[in-house]
Amino acid sequence: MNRIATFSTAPAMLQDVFAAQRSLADIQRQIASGKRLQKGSDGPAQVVTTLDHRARLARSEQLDRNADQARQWLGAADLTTQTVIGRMTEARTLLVQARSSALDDRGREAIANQIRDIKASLVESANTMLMGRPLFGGTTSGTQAYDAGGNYVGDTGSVTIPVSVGVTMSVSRTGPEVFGTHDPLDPMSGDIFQQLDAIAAAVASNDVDGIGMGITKLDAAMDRVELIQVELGSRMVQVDDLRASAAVQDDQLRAAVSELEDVDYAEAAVLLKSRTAAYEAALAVTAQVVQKSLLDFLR
Amino acid sequence: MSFSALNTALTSLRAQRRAMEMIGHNVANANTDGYTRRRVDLDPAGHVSVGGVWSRPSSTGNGVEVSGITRMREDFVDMRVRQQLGVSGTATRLATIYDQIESLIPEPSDTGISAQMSAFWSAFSEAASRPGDLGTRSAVLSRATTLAGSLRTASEALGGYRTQLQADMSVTVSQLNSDIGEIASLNGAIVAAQAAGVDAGDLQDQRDLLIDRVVSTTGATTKSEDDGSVSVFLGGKTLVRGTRTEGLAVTVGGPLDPPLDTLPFQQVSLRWAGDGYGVQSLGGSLAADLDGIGRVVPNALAQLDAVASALVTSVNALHVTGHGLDATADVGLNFFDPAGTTAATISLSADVAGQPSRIALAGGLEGDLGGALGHQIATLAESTTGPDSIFRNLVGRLGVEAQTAASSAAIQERISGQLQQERQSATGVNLDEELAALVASQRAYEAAARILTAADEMLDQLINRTGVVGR
Repeated sequence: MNRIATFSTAPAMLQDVFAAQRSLADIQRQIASGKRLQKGSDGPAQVVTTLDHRARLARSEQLDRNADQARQWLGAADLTTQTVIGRMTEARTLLVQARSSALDDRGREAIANQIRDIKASLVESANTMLMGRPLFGGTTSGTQAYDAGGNYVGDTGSVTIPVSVGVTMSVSRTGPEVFGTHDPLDPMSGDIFQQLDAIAAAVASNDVDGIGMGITKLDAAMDRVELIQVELGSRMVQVDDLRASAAVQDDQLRAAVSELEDVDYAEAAVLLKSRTAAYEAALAVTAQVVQKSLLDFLR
Repeated sequence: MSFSALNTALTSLRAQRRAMEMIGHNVANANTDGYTRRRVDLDPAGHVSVGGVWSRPSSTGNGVEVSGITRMREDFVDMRVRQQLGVSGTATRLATIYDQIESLIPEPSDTGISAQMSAFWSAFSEAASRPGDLGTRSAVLSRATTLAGSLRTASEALGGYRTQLQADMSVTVSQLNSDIGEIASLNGAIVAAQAAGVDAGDLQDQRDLLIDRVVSTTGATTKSEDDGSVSVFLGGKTLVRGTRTEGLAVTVGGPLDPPLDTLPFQQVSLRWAGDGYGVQSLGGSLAADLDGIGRVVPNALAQLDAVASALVTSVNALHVTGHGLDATADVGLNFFDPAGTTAATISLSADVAGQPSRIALAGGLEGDLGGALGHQIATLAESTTGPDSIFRNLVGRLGVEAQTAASSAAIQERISGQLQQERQSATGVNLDEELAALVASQRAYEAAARILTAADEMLDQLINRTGVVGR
C-alpha cells in the first residue's frame, strides 16, 4: 500500500473513533449500573455461575425463613413440655405425700382435687396454640388437640420443615406421643389424663397399691416427656447451628455474586479515565486528518 | 518546415486539456462512494512506421494522442474484498441477531425469569410453613401467574422476532432482485458504450457498488467477461450473465428439521425464482437470516419450552399426590394446566386458579394443615435437572454463542476494513497527487502553447518577411 487515497483515511479513522467511543460507553454503562455482567455474552460461564448462586441464595433465604418457623415450633414445644413436666412433678410430689403421710379423708380428697386441677391444666397445655394451630394436634385443621373430655382429636401427622439444604426436620409431636396413648380398658396404662384421673380416684379411695402404681406410671410418663423435650431442644440447637453455617455460606455466595457481577469501581474509574483519554485522542487526531493538502502550499 | 509543428502543439493542447478535465472529475468525486479514480492515457501519436519508396517519414513524431482512459482498479484486490464481504456479511448479521435474542431474555437480572422462578419456589415453601394462611397461598398463585406470564412473553417475543427476521429477509431478497436487474442493465449499457469507444467508468463504478451489495447479502462470486460485462454466480448457478438474470424467492412451508419440528414454525428457505431449486452455498447476510430463522431463534424457543415443560411436569407430578385444605375434595389436582407444556401455553390449571385453598401443600397421609408436600415442591429449586437448571443452561448456551458471534463479527469487520482500505488505496482519489498532476498538465499546456507561438513566429518569418527585398 504505497498510495493513500485522501479521503479513505477518514472512514478508517472514524472506525477507530467509533471503537473508542464504544468502549467508553461500555465502561460508562458498567459504572452507571454498577454491574459488570449485563447479558449472557458478557461472560457466559460467569453468568451461569451467578445465576446458580442467585438461585441458591434465594433458596437459602427461604430456608432461613423456614428455620425461623421451625424454631418457633420447637421453642413453643420446649416451653410447653417444660410446663408439663413441672405440673407432673407437682402431681408426683402430691402422690408421694398421699402415700407416706397419714391423711384423713378430707386431706386425701384435697390432694385428689389438686391432682384433678393438674390434669385440667395439662389438658390446657396440651391444647397450646401456635400460629392458630394446636401445637400437639399433628396436621389437623381443627382448633384443638384434645377435647374437653381429654380425648385426642388431632391426627397422627407431624409438621416437617426443610431447614437447610438436604435437612428436613420434624418439628412437632402429636398429643399421644407426648401424653401417651388412650386406653379405654385400663386407665392406668392409658394417656396421662386417664392416669391422673385414675390416680386421683386411687388417692380419694386410699388405694395404696393404686397410688404406688400411679407413681411408677407418672415416672414413666415424665421420662417420656423429658425425652421429647431433650429431643426437640437438641433439634433447636441443630437448627441454630445450621442457620449459622448457612449464614456463612450465604455471605460467601453473596460475595461471589458481587465479585462476578459488580463493577470494581477503582478499576472502572481508571478504565474510564484511560478510555476517555483514548477517545479524546482519537477525536483530536481525526480532526487533524485531511486538513492539509498540496493546495495549501501551491501559489 | 511544415505545418506539422502547429498540429503537434494542438494535439498536446487537446491532450493536456483532457487530462485536466479528468483531474477535475477525480477531484470532484474525491468523496463519492464507490468512485474509481481514472487516468487519461497519453501515447505519442504514431508516425508511419514503415517508410514508403518515395516518401520518408520525418524523424519526429506527430505529437500526442489520448489512447484511452484507465480505471485504477485491481481485480485481485476486488476479488479478495468481495470474498470477505460475503463472510463478514454473515458474521455481522448473526451477531445482530444474537444481540437481539439476548435482549429478549435479559439475565442476570433481579426481575428476570430466573429470579421469578426462585420467588415461585419460595412462595411454595412460605405457604407450606403456614398452610392455613390463605394470604401466603394466594402468593403462590400470583407468583406462578407472573412466572407463567414471563415465559409466555419471552416465547411471544422470540416468535415475533422470528417473524420480523422473515419480513426483513423478504425485503432483502426483493432488494437483491432489483439489484441484479440493475446490474444486468448496466452490463448492457457498458458493453454498448465500450463498443462505441465511450468511457463507461461511471457506469462501471455504479455496477461495482451494486455487485458489492449483492455479494455482501449472498456471498456470490463474480467474473469479468471479455466484452466488459460482469457475471455474478451463486452456488454454481448464475444470478447475472450479460443482460440475463435469475432472481431468488423466499418460500415458506413444511415443518422445521427435527428435533425442532414440534415447534409451531414453518420452514423458510431461499429458492431460485425460475426453477424453484434451493439455493446452494449461500453466504452473506441472507445466510445469517436463514440461520436465525431456521436454527438460532427456534433453538432458543425449544429450550424455553423445555424450561416450561420441566416446570409443569415436575410441579404437577408432586402436586397431584397431595391435597388442599379440604382433604376429601381437593385431591389429585394439577397445579399447572397439563395441556400447556410449552412456554407459549403454560398456565395455571383451572383446578387451582383463583382458589388458593385447593393448592396441595399437604402430602397424601398428612392432615389438612400438613406442609410437607409444599416444602417438597419448593425443594425442586435445588434440582440439578429441574427448570432452573435448564434455564441456566439456556442462558449459558445463548451467551456462549452470542459471544462467539460478536467476536467473529469484530474480527471480520477488522479484516474487511483493512481490505477496503487496500482497495481504496488503489481506487481512491489522492488530492495531492491530483494537484501535482494538475500542475504538470498546466505546465505542459503552457509549453505546448509556447511551441505554437514559436511555430507561428517561424512561419511569420518565412511568409511575411522572407523574399521582400525591394518591396
